[in-house]
Amino acid sequence: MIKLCTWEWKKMVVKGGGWVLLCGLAVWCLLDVLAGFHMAAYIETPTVEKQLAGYYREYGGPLTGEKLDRIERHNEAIAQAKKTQNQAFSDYDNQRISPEELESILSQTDDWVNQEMAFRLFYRDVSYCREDPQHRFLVEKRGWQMLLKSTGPHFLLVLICVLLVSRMCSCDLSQTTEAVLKTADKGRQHILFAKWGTAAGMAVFIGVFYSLCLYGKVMRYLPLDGYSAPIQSLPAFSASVYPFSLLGMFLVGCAVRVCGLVLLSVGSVCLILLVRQAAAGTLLALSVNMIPYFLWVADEAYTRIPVPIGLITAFSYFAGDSGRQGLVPITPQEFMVLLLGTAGVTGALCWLSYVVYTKGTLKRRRPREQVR
Amino acid sequence: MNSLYFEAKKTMLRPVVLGALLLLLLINGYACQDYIDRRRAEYTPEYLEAYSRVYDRVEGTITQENMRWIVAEKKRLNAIIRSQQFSTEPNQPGTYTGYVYSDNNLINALYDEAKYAYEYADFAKDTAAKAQRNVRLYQKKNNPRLAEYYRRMGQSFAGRRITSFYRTDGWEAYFSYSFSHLATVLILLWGLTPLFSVEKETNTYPLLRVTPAGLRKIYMQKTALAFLFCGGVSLLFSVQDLIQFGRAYGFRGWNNPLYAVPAFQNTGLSVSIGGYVVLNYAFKLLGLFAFVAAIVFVSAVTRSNLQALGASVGLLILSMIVCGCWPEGSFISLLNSIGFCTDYSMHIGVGVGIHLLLIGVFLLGIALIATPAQRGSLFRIRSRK
Repeated sequence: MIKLCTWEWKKMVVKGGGWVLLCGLAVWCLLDVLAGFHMAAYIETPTVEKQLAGYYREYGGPLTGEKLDRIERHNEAIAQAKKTQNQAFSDYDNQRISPEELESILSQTDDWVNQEMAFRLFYRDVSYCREDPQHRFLVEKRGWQMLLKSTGPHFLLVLICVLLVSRMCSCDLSQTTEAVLKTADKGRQHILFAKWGTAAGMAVFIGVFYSLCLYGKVMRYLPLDGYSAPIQSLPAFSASVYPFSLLGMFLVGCAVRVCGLVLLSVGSVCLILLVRQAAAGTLLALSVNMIPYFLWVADEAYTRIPVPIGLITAFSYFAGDSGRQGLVPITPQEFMVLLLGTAGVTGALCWLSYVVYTKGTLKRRRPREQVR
Repeated sequence: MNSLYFEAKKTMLRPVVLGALLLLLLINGYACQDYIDRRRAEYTPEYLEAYSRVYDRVEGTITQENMRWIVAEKKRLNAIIRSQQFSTEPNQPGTYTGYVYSDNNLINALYDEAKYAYEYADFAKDTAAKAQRNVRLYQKKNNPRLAEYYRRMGQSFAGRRITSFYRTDGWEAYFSYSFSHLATVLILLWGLTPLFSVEKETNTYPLLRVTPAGLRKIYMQKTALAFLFCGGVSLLFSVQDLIQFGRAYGFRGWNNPLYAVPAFQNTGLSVSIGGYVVLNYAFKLLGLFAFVAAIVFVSAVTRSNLQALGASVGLLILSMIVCGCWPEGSFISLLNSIGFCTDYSMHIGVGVGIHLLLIGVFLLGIALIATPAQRGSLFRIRSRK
């Protein structure tokens, strides 16, 4: 079986030209990591970054009463320094103090005032955590927000998975070697199993590779700490009912995404084999996933139907009631039903393609036995 | 004619394509209704009915009498709401919607829309005057390009006025609806990607090369057929959209200027709403033609249907990426030209020029591919003789 899978892998990547698509994905991911697309909105100036890192190092983790007191004192000190500076500028404008005195006051208060911008950002997080200190920890959120955001499925992954799978199947279909393959000793089921296994393996590879690249990109530009903090520490997951840590959420989300890609790839194999035309099957697989997305993108209802495109969005299932108008949260039970439903639909497709694929073989074998 | 039919039968009139077309028409019908329902979801049926009735009362040529009635109703209802002396019971007699508060919202919305129409002439005059000031400023600054830009803008806005008042929410909904574009693009992918590649995949290409008609004629027929198919499909979906939105909103004011729709307040186009419906379709068709020319070219240079499909989908993804950073360069932005036409500063002309150029380039590419094949065909026919 492993040998068959290797052959299918070769068909897909070497013979079918899949290496071009994989290289394209690798180049895109590399560029993404190096150039940091869409990161500008998250990155602050170096001074602010340094100050923020200092605050989170000092006050990070669970928000205790003692920490809160210290933060409030820090806040008051900054406010006081700002007030003193304003007063000094006003006095200087009215010629009540000399330039030397102004300079002296500024040098005493500058350290505090220069922290204002960073502390304002930090204090916003503190205010958020203070609402529910049991479930919300003080952690640097930007990196996790980037990592766990759910802004729809990644169409590049969908496209690459479907096209790779179609290349694997088209090698047999277009060269009419399918009939020959099916008459092999282990042809009937084993080839089909090998195709499913290869498609699933390729989907796992692409999903894991993409997740690792995303993780690497965020690691490169933004601080990632507080791995064990509860997921509710992020505003987007404030209403989440899942007891995951931030790292746990990332891993679970990646697993769901990989699961979606696996179901998409295996389902595409089945559709292509059922249609018996690589191009038509590919377009059908893409349409089945794309149309629900564009049809129900407004209220994310596409995440509620048993097609893999919802699972590839991954993190939106775990956010709970996000408070956005028109969005109904998905409960854990609903999510499980949906996951099983998608697997069930793919399973049904597998069964159908298995019956069609193997039945064809049986029909063709009979006359050969009679001749013998 | 027969050969055209046979060519069509091979690719775009296959049962699977026709089935997909039918299915997508059904899905588009559902999507249209869903879109309309979503837009109306925030209002009660009574409110929507009252909205229609009130508009029936004031629609038509803008008259002092109608405007006075709207202002009087607004004042009356605002006074009741301010006094807080009103019942919250449903189905109150003497109300439009059954509730006084809801009536107030209804008349406020009507007042805002009527005010927009009534005062548009002042807005246009003001904009034209500002543009003229900018012309003088940029002439002084010795910037003839911007001076010319504002001169044209001033000319475009001068003398604008809205003389008739009709409800415009249906037009806005219709112009911003876009699911049918996806459906059209999908059908084009289904029907047209195998146009030439199918001949190579099924090994009929060498046979075509030796036909007496010659390969160039076949290429021309196939290409013409592709454009015809595209026109037919896009017309089908556009008409379906128009009928469904028209049925839901009851389009009125076809002859009103486009700027009567608030979303087009700053448009540079001086056409009627009906004219823009046609123009919008023409822009859409141009964008689709550019995509079709690309598909046909890709199909002519690839060896299998799957390669043609992969390359066409790749082009589509590329267009989506280009659309994000340079809308004029992508056919996707032409599919719904509302993005170009709502603001004077947008340059639809650039988009049109680029796509005409693209169509020309792709057609030239197809002609170049067909030419050596034609020679080969002739050569073989001669030697056969």
